[in-house]
Amino acid sequence: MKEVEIAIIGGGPGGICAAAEAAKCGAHVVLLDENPGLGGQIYRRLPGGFAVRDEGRLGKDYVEGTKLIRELEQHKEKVEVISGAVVWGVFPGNEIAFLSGDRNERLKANRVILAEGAYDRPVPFPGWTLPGVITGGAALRMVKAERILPGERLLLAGTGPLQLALGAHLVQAGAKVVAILEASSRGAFWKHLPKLLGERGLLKEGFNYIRELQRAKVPVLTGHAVVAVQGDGEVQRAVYARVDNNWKTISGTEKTVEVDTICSGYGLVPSTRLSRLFGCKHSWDRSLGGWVSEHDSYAETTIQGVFTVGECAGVRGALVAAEEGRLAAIRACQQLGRLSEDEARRKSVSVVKRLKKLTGFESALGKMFAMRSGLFAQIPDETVICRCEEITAGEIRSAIAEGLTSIDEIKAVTHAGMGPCQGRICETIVSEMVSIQTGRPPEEVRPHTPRPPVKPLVLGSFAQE
Amino acid sequence: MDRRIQNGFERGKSFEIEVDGTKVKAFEGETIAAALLAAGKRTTCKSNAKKEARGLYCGMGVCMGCRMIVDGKPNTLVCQTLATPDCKVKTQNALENWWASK
Ligand SMILES: Cc1cc2nc3c(=O)[nH]c(=O)nc-3n(C[C@H](O)[C@H](O)[C@H](O)COP(=O)(O)OP(=O)(O)OC[C@H]3O[C@@H](n4cnc5c(N)ncnc54)[C@H](O)[C@@H]3O)c2cc1C
Ligand code: FES
Repeated sequence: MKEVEIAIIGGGPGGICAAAEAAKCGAHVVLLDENPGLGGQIYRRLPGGFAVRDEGRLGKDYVEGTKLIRELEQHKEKVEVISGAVVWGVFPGNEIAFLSGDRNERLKANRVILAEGAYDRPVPFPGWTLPGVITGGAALRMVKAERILPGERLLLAGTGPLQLALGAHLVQAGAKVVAILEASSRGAFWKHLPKLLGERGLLKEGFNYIRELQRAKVPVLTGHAVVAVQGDGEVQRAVYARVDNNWKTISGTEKTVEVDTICSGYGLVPSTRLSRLFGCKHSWDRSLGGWVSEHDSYAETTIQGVFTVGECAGVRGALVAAEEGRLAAIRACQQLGRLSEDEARRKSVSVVKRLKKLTGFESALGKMFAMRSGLFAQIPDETVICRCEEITAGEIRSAIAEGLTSIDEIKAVTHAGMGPCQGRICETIVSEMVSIQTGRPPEEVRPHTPRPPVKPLVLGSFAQE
Repeated sequence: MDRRIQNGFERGKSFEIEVDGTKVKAFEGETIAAALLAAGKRTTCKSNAKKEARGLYCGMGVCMGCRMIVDGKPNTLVCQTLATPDCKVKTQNALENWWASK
């Protein structure tokens, strides 16, 4: 079996920066990512067949992504990038199993840096399984990478600044955005957002988005959320309403709009399958997106030699992911003897400084846009929660009423989470529901125990061959 | 309305794929999901028990909502699969043999 000094899983900003930094310190690195190209979610490249003419017109994120990828390319001889590689399991001794095309491969790494990222938080409402209801992240991918409008008349529903970015991208590309529904109240949103964006150095970008939306006369409705989506076989209209401070619908305020697409963007959930497989200790933090692996100030988890960086270690944006990747790489290289303690300390000073500043603001953002339970409390009994096995809210509530309170128990009895997505969609919803019904804080609802394969082994043709 | 955005880049070769018997245009490097969206086709499969229409949801290989039969292979996630000239894509009627297809 192939052996490497450091294996990095995930080719977004976290993984790219970890790989570049480790190579700079002299280590040999393998970087694994399931996509055809590097970049991760935010810096996802244009499809392979496309020719870039004027990068500036592709947006700030694209340019930033190119910069990071170029930095990595300068260390070609030290870094092996394996694209189209789906990591489906990790085993004792830091063995990593991945599918590359039809080939099942393994490698052994002295140190492992997990940079898997996050995925959109699923929020159910009647009609959320209709074709035409997509996540905010899926919509961003379509406009920013595949350069296709996911719809013609869209309603954005959710919370947080990513919605503004999506709205601006959509109107720029010629789509009609009927409204952006922001569940947070007006006060919180407009008062803190500019300040926070400013502290992140993103003020200009944030204002550009807002200006773009104003120019296109897109209303941003704070304190509103989508109540239901309707249509014959696909989305045709949406009902939305005002919500109270707990994000529960205020009845009597419902309005209906004709739309063909709903983008549901309620923040992100950290991907923790691999860190859980490794046996790292996890704790719950709402402002970080839920369950995250515990780690020290060098991003090392409770399992020695295993690091988590970027959004899989807590949702705090791409800039944090990049710095955290660098920090983990420095520490891993020191452990491998590639750097002396002194060198490592010297190298990390500036990274730690930048990271500290960034994480402060990101955690304020996280708190401001953290989910409220009202949305989950009001899901009608007949609404499907587990999209794979079609288990309804009512069935899950009955199981909880019978005394089942862990995700695994509820799964065993109702089959919610037993389908091919392996509970990634319904798990966070079920745990909110348990917490609401039993009055226990979410950190007391035991999460699902993952087993390999953590990714389906039938994905398609992103492999290089 | 042309759903394909033109701005600062050029698409590569275009070709046709076959979706439930009709021709749909695709470009080199696009996922099947993107080609379907551009053509306004949104249903990818029917749910197992209730046989309700489903489509793209997460767009990143997590939810399994975009499963289709591609060149005879069921449970192919079209958001993670590139379109290739003349590939044959079919709406999938249920979650066929999910665990067996591994
Ligand atoms: C769909 C989506 C779109 C987003 N778009 C934007 C945006 O436009 N602007 C913005 O500011 N933020 C966006 N975000 C937020 C974004 O997650 C981050 O800010 C940033 O991308 C985080 O970087 P990261 O390195 O932590 O993870 P990511 O960028 O998510 O990178 C993780 C990478 O690891 C890969 N991966 C995960 N698991 C495995 C595995 N088992 N095997 C192989 N590869 C694996 C993923 O495919 C991905 O390429 C988006 C998030 C999502 C989910
Ligand atoms: S849309 Fe979720 S897996 Fe493809």
